[in-house]
Amino acid sequence: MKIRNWIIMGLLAVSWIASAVADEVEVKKLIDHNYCNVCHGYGGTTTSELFPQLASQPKEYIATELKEFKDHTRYDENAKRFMWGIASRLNDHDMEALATFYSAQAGVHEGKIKNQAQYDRGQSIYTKGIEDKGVPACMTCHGEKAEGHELIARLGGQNENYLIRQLRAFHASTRETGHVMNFVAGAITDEDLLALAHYLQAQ
Amino acid sequence: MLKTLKNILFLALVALALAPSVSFAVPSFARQTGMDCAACHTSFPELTPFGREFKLRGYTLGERQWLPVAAMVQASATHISKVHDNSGVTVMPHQNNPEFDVASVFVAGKLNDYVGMFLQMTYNNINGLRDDFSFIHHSAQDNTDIRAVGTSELFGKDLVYGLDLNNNPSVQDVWNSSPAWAYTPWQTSSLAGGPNNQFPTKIDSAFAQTVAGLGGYLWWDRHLYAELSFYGSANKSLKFMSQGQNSFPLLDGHDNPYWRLAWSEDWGSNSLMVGTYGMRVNLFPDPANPHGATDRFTDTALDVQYQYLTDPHIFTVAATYIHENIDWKASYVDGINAGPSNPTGNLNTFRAKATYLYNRKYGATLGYFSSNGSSDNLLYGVTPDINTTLAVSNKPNSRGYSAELDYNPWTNVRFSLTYLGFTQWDGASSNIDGNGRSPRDNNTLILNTWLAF
Ligand code: HEC
Ligand code: HEC
Repeated sequence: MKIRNWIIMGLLAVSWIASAVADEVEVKKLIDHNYCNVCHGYGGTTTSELFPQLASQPKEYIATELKEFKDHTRYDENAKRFMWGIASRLNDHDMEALATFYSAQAGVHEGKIKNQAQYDRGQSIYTKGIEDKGVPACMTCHGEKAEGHELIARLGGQNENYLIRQLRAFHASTRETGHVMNFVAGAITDEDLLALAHYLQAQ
Repeated sequence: MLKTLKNILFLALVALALAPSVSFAVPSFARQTGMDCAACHTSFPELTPFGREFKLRGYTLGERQWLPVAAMVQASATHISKVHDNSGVTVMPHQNNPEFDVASVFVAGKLNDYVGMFLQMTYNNINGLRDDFSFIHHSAQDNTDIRAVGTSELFGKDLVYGLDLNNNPSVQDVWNSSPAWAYTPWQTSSLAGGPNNQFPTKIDSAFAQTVAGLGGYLWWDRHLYAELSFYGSANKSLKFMSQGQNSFPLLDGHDNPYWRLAWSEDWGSNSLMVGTYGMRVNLFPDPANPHGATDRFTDTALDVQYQYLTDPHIFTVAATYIHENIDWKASYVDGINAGPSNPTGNLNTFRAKATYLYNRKYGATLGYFSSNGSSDNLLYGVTPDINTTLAVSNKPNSRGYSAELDYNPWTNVRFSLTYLGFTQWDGASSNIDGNGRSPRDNNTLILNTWLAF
């Protein structure tokens, strides 16, 4: 038999086997087909600072962010680079399913305190705010353990550098619909921003 | 010099004029996935972990495009250290002149959820030089990679399995330490060549676009990659993979094996791969007469790649060591003054590079290469000294380095300035042409423009 015929048969065989085994739970398939794991880690847990943890993030928040990537109202550099394309292929039903899955995964609490002074400063702002600058206590919205709630993001255990980038994105208003946060982030100095991120990662 | 500057300015303007309109019009894979080049590349063609996954899964992520076509253009100006040799003969014409180098068209994308391809056709504006230094142009099939993949589970972990058909050993590989996609540097000059034996081993691109290889691979748990492929010359019904290549080495049969084993580990912002690859080919000494005995080349290689990927800092290192054993079973004939002068031989190449990228915009790369091998009077003693008439060397040994600065205003546009230096040239550390030319007289500075859309 000619090599060409072997190739054609091989391609057909692989296509056939592949479609036969593609019978998994819907959300697993969604995750697999969109490579969420490759960036966000299995179960939405990653130690890479490029990608946010999704595990344990409130369901409503995840679904909302996916919609914002899709309609381009979240347009910071990394949102455009990495998430616009992915979200463009998800419908409301997919987003709901993905949000349900990731919100049910156990979140990480692995951050370490590397700088006690910075940690203390972060904790103080998080729990009490900075009154004279009009910075509200983050805790009032994000929760005592920074666990988030409905449309409010979980921040605890999130990667430090990711948090810093998001606070800068709010400041630059490239997360248009984060109204409250655009206001909050605008009032925080760079130094306090680092302190907050450090504190939050260690939660 | 003024003309040169004007031409460079013109090229830059063309690039700038095209670029804004392509803010999202990056090549076909980007259009298919809706993602920016940055998702798959640190800096083209180097792949991120996500880019590797995209390739290993057969380029199938995203929506099939009606016309999955993209294009790439490169232009450059080359400055060689000494334009003339010691007798006044021009070694490299078109010194400092901006020249259009190559244009490629890609047909690249998914065919369905399990099959995808990457086909490149290249028009080479400077494929050679005539006696009057005018350019010989040439078009040919370039890299080709067609895959069919499936996904499953093995021992409770993700498994990707695939079939791959390609025309260049290691073009199917996803790491940038193996030959086809390695930094040598990315863009070299079409005018100034390197030593004949810069990368002398067979697996190191000697068969690029002249062979056809079919193989299978497994990618397990995003850790282990294993592949076995078989190569033969791309002729007869596989001629489309070597279209436009006029003469090429002829392999005996279609069962010359290529293998690859790699372990990859990602943690935090780090990604590390340690691997090995190799190939064994039987080659007819005379491609015009593919009968009888063949010479055997056995290549084994080690490679490693490390990436540190954050925003805004990216740091990558890639290195490989290739060893080749040659058995001149067909070419060596005792007592005859042609072909190799020994029945066996060996060659080695070591190559390494390190890149730092800031904000995916500014980059700096340092590269090093060193090739050496067993001595052979007939194979390597080809350059006589003009005074003594003795060969200047009987070894293939070549060594050099590169230093490069990049500016990427957009992910699909790159300007680079590359300095390529040589310290050893085809066995000689001085007097490389028998007339007193030193390796460093061939050092070049290359200004390059690259864009894809
Ligand atoms: C190519 C890598 C990549 C892939 C694949 C990917 N993401 Fe993302 N994702 C990112 C990056 C980077 C960000 C941060 C974007 C930013 O900085 O604005 C992100 C952000 C998100 C966010 C917002 C998190 C937050 O805390 O605000 C959600 C939700 C999300 N991704 C879900 C998903 C889902 C679900 C999938 C699969 C369907 C997926 N991602 C696939 C890279 C990726
Ligand atoms: C009034 C309520 C409120 C307060 C107070 C508040 N936040 Fe938020 N925060 C939100 C909401 C709502 C979001 C989600 C925004 C969106 O959907 O874009 C958010 C999102 C964030 C995010 C993005 C998380 C992610 O995964 O991308 C960060 C970081 C953050 N807040 C930090 C803070 C810090 C630090 C403070 C205190 C200085 C603070 N927030 C105070 C309501 C609040």
